[in-house]
Amino acid sequence: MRNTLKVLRAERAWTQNDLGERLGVSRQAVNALETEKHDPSLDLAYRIAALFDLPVEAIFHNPHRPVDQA
Amino acid sequence: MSFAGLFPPATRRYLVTSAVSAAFYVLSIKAISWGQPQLSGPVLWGAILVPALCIAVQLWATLRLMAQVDEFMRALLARRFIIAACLAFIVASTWGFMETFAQVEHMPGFMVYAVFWVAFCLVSPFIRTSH
Repeated sequence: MRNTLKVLRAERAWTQNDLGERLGVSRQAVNALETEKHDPSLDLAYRIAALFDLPVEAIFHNPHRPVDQA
Repeated sequence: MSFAGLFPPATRRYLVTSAVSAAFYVLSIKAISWGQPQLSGPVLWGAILVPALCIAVQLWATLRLMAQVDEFMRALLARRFIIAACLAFIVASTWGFMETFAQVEHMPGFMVYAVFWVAFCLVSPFIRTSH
């Protein structure tokens, strides 16, 4: 799932390990999210959104929403 | 870096449990093979249950690891586990057909467990995504 996680992380100068610790997941999980090898659960997506203080869809592209409504 | 610092606690528990169960498995098989001529009745049946219990403990440790790691690692482990189990079923049943219809050498049933872990190791490098 396309996302802006890597950009958001870089803006804060966090490593993948830093972000993983803040989210309670492994560095491998953060890497998998950034490289679209893992689609997060709803719970993890909400945790990420809360951490960056953004709506979920500002971080994760919703492939089911028509472009003009995004 | 120490063993404790090298792995997260869940992985550490899994590795220790796996190593202990594998050691007991090998030792119990050796002991049964060595003592088989003298063993009989309930003692023999009890001895046979030891390696079986080691396998159960190893599988329990693997399932506990799956429950304790994060969702990405859980998904990876689960996918690898399921595909390895499918391959082990295929190999075991194919071998069974070959034994029945082509008179190939008998494969002991307990080898299925080894086949499962070989399959797990073989598929793991190719299963790197959770979907």
